[in-house]
Amino acid sequence: MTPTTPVGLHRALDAIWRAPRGIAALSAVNHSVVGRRFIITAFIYFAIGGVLAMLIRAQLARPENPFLGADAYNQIFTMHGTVMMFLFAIPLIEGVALYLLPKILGARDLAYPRLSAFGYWCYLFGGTIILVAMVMGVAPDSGWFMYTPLASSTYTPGINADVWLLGITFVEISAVCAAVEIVVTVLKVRTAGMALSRMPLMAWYLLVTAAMMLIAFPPLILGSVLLEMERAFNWPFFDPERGGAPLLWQHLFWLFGHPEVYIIFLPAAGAVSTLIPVFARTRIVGYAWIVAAIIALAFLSFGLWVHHMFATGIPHLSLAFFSAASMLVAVPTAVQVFAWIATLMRGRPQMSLPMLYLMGFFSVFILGGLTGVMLALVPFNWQAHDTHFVVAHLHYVLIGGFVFPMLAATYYWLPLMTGRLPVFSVSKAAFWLIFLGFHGTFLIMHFTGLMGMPRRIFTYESGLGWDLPNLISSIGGFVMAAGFALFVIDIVLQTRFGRRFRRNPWGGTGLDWAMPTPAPSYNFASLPLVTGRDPLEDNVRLGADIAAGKGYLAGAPRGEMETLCVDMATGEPEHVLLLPKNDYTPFWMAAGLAVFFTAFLLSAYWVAPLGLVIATAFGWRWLWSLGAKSDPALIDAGQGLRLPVHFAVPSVPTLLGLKYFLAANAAFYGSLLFGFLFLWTTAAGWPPQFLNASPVLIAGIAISLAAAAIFATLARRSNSREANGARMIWLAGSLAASLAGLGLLMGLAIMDAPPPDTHAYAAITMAIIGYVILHTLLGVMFAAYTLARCRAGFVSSLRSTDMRGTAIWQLYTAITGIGGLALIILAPGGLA
Amino acid sequence: MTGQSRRVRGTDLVWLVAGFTVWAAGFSAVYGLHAVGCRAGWEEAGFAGLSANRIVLLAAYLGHSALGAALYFPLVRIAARWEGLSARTIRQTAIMVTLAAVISTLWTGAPVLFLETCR
Repeated sequence: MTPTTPVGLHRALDAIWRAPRGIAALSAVNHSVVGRRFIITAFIYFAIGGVLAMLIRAQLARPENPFLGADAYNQIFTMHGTVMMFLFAIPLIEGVALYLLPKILGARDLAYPRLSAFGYWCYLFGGTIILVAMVMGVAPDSGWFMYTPLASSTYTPGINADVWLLGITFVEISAVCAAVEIVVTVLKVRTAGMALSRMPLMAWYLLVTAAMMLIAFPPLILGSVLLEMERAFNWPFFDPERGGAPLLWQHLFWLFGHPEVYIIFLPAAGAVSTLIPVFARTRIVGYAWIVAAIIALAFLSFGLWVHHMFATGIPHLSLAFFSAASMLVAVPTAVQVFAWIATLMRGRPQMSLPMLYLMGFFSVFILGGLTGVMLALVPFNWQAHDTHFVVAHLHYVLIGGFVFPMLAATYYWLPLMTGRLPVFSVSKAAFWLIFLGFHGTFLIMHFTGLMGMPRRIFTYESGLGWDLPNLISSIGGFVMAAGFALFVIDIVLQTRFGRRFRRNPWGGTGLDWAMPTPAPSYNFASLPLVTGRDPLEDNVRLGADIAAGKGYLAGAPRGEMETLCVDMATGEPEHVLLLPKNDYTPFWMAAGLAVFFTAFLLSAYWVAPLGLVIATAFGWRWLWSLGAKSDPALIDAGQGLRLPVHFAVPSVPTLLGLKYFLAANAAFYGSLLFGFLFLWTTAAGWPPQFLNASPVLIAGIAISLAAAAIFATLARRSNSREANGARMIWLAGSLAASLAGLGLLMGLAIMDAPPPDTHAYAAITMAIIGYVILHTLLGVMFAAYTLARCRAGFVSSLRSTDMRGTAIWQLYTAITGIGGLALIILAPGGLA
Repeated sequence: MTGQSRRVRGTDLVWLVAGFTVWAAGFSAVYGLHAVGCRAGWEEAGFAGLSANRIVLLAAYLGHSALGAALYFPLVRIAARWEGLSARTIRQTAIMVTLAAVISTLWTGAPVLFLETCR
């Protein structure tokens, strides 16, 4: 019998949603569990990065300090930046997003729970590789930006740089997974009535951030792959003596690196936009203005990357473009700041604990923004370049714009996790130590930099005027570290001994506070109908109504894990998303990749493919578990609504996710083509030799790829007409065309392309061909998989996800493949 | 509301990014053409006192600025028909973002009007 009481609903839901314990916890995919794992792991890395910072400050506290040698110092400052950026900041954002999104959107989980679990394992394994390397004394030591030629094998011959390139690439897989997860979840997996205009601002911020991640991370991944290929196989992408260019690395790195600053800032700003109205007891001022500002900010942040390269000799006109964009980006940032100030002025602000940290954010971040405008000006930038002024600026921006808001967010949302509130005043003492210690460390560092102290030096001579400022910075650093230690103690105290409360301790108006605390595994016993931006203000009994099952999909009458998918714009329910139960597949797939990356790192190249085979096998198993062998009946979603199941509708989230993954993939490929064009326009003696391929071969490849795409599309159309015989023939045709294309491409790579270690032209041409080969190979697998799915009965005119996915993939492969080959051919002298 | 009013759809969200997509295309075009022009020696050829490099850059700059501005008119016309949940917010936001993108295109490309090209 279906339970109808709140307790009965809770028991029924928790029985199927709760995460397993013991070794089975490795199979957990629930967003709360995965989000918590991300957050806790990120804070552990934050502590490690903090210890490294203390070592740096101890070394620089006095001149000619024998505490650390140059080699150890290089590893420590490289690891500090690497850990803080890649293993703390980004994963913390991912964790917060994965944990919070379903709760603020009125959903029970994310769009792809297994994808976020897979992302976590990639993060953990990749981070562990880097950490183990540090313990073994072979940590990266070329700076967190890994500039070439310093990071090339000539000047960094050991595995230190490889640790960074492979470890960070592994970790960034998790970032791309999280980005796809976030975008699709925000757009589709919301509760009924949550139109875009009613979405919490935090969801807008995370949506824009995730979209940025899809475009920003691929250039870094590409750069890392190219540099690793250079180091491992001598393909000279960055070697100027063989037609490469070190500046290409800087472009690829900062194409990621500058948007990264805003990727870190925007979610933190989302927390600010969430907390300020709550503690000012009013509504946010300028909702639409803020949304417009963050969209503008997201785009503009991609037009700033060269301001990290102002001193590289780029022509003045180019510098001016990027200088102008760097100044312009302050405008949308200011729009948000003014909206926050206006909200504070309109309301009745309460100086509670999270607000204290927000005040810290205001004072620190605005100073960082102002020095950012200074650095946007080319003449000043040239003077301050590579000095401690820049170090001070970036810490004001990152700690001010990220750490302070995230500490505020921690205090705000921790009660949701723990069901407890802080009882001791330790938190305030922690704030003041962090705040004063921060300014003690970095305010004076501006002047140290203006007095000429360069970055990344392990020691300095006395008598240059740097002794006292450095000592003050070091003392400030240790004060700040004491503050962070106190923060950790406070969190532990709150978690263990905090005051229990019933619901909504801060008076929040969002759905996150409409659930019991600590948040249950399923979030909502039933999914509410939202009628405004502040659901708890519109209906103060909303929490009780949800718990009593007075919403959609109450309880678990079918024993399935269910949540709603809605129309993107209006929030009208479209279908029911059936979510996967706990599964070891993400763990083993990530473990397979760990084998690949570790083997590659240790130069065991014959073992590396084994890891890929393991990952591919589990990936196949993952996909095979989707869908069903018969057309599902409509589900009674409650409130008189009957909805289809997600895999029986055209707008299935799986396909949306595939499209966003392909967007990231296109950014990767676009960066590769940019690399080709960059070298063609800037490198000396380019190109020295041309692709020696016959036009017939090139035409054969193009026809094969185009045919594979056309046949896959015809198969999809046949499937929608229920012409099952024709769909199999077209699918087999697509498979055959892909196989033919693969063979021709292999012929091109092996017989016609110049040896890739001879010149950057040969290397990047081979990289483009390799990309097309990989995608054609995956096209073969897609077509074979869909044929097998058709034979097994998983595909029908309603259940068409496999068909549509294959058609999309083959089309992407054809466009990118033909486009890439066209570029190679049409570049002057492209064919011999 | 007009007789052609319709519910705002997911595909309408493209208007939130259309303006800045033009900005990004313009920014990339001006930056890329600048590099190509200097490499290919377009500075040497010219017309009416302007180098070929300058002419190409001006064309890219003004063309993208005009394209971005031109987006405004269909946007206003189409957005006026949107109705229902989110219509007002999406309309307001799309218009603001599109105008901001035009201003951004004019601002970031303005150096082609007065700076030397290949130094």
